[in-house]
Amino acid sequence: MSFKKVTTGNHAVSYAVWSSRVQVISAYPITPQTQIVELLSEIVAEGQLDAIFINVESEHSAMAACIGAAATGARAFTATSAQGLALMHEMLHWAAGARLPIVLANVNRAMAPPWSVWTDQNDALAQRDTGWMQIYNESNQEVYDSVIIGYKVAEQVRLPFMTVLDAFVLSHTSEPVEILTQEEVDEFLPPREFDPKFYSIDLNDPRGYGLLTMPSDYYEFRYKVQIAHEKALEVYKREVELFAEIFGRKYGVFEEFMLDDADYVLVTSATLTSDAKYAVKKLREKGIKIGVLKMRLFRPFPFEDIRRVLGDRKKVAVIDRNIGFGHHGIFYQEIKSALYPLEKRPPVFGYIIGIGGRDVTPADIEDIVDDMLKREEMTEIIWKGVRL
Amino acid sequence: MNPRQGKFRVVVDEERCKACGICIKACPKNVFDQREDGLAVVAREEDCIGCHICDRLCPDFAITVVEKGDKPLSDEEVTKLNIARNYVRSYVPRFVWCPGCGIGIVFQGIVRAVHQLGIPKDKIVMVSGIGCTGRMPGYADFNTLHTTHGRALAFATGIKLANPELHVIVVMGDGDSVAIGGNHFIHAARRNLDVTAVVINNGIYGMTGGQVAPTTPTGRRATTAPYGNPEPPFDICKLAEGAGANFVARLSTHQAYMPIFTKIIAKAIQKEGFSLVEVLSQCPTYYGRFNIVEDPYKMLQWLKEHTYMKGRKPKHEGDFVLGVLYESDREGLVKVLNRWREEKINASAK
Repeated sequence: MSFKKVTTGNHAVSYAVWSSRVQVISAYPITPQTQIVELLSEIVAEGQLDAIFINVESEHSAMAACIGAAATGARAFTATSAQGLALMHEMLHWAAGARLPIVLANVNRAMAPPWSVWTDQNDALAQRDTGWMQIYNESNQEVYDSVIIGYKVAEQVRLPFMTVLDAFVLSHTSEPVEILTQEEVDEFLPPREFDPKFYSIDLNDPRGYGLLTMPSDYYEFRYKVQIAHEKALEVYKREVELFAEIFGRKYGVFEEFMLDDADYVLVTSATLTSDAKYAVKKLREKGIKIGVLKMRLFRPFPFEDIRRVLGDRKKVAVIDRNIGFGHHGIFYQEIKSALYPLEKRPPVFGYIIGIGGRDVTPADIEDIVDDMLKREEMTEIIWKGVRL
Repeated sequence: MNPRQGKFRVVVDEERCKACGICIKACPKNVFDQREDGLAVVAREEDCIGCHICDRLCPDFAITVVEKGDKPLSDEEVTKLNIARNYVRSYVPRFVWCPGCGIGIVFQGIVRAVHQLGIPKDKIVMVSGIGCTGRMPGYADFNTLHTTHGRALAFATGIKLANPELHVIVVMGDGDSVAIGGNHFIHAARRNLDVTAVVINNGIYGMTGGQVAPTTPTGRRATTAPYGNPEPPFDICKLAEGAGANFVARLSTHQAYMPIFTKIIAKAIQKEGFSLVEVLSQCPTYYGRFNIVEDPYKMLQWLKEHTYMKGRKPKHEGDFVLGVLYESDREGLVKVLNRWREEKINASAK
């Protein structure tokens, strides 16, 4: 029987990696991620998880070691944050291009300079185009489940999977998390078996990997990564349904909160969603028909679902804890682009908030709603709470 | 009675003292008492012989020892005479380092060396990576740059070559310099880049919470090596020597009150080409607690016990040799580049 445990977001990741019977873990310390791999190193050292734990000399090497392990068919894992993820960037492209189903937990932390250890999403979103799937989490339970679902999807579509949690707000905050037993997880995600058809450093069938390709061939490799992402959307939807059937927790590509009759929608992601939900409940009492759409799966991007859910609304506000410099908030860009093919579409407003871990409160969300209700014309970018 | 006794003023700044207890235990004349909250207080000032063990070993620059002058000085006036404190930015109330951390001791050694050399503050650039040692440029009243993990020497390369007249001091931890930044480290040495690298080696990743590092001795424990480190550690000095450094020295924080400590750092700053000073340092919070002892003073004693000066014999297997370990007079990179440029220009002019 599964059991509830009060645990931090970081340790929820560690337990999920344990549950997923990961075989190779390779990591380098970085705040606020380090607790994930610390607990894993203990779990491995105690013999509770039959895995190899590699202490490497940088994040770049951590991902390279995961790539090597995954290429031989092993289930591989690493965790990082901010600068560490940025240093991995070259290897992230490699993992996706080589079609290796590695799972990475990234604890969202603001990029330097100036130094910060607090949360915002620019580190993860800067890896948008590397070919990794990405999911954003609101609670420690989501974090735990996302790792297990991540392996299940990744190994079917042969793409790497990144699960993303906010620094400190999730990583170091304890919440009750339902931890599944090994039998339960095995039923959903069986232990990894070597399949030479897919991966494939296979002694009986030696091949060369990663070699130089001519322009006559390279293009198709990239096409296939895109097709895999399109397929991943279907596989993800199927797997979360199966997950819900077995464990009772239902995840979609996004979460809809009080959206059924909503004229106005707040599009959020990660932990500030909880503030938005709280604010929306209060605004509902005042008679404002408003709801929240919480983005979960960011890559592959659920275009059709976004159009279906947002197309008929009166107004949409996208709240970004990130900034695409010289453009807009990144979720804002993506939501607008998804809605563009519709003939009739709501005006969409983009708000920037909480960069570098500045606190976001329900009152801030209410201010955003007030502002959105007053606006008629779409504007380029709206900064909430800049102090100059 | 010692003839020096009674000639010194000793002041502890309680705003800066973190109650690590090093001074209390290290004082040969038992000048200090420990207050109930752990802070050191001067109880027997008249017994002080001015050996300066306490102030040089104080990681927080909290102690000032000065010779009594003609007129009596207040505690504030004495504190103002603290040379090291003059190299700390005025807005820094205290350092972030744990009580008894060795980094503050090395920091004091560096600023005292700069003071001895008489180099103006504005002619010094201090560059760091990140981690515990990375906090030093936030406190030092030089031109300072706090950079990314492992890349301090790469940033410093640009600074030195663009401004050859500046003295560039690069402070790094062991993780910074030989793990993630190992490549920059060997190439700065190979090029013989004219900077002074001070590597504070505590054998563990401190800031992130005590993970195993490439300098953790075999068998020592860390949070990511709960049963001990199976791998062998780097010998940072040999690495620098092998890669081409001009000056290689190893010190230990327990030596901080000896003249040799600042003298070797000063020599490294003056030396042309790449100079490395590795300072073995205590991390009581992690390395000490996991492996030896949590008490900072006992960690200093452990360092004393497990190190030996070059030319002497080690007491135990695995003890660290201290002193100037290697020196050569290869031309530094700045000179090489200037000469190269001139020779090429002259050659083409002909």
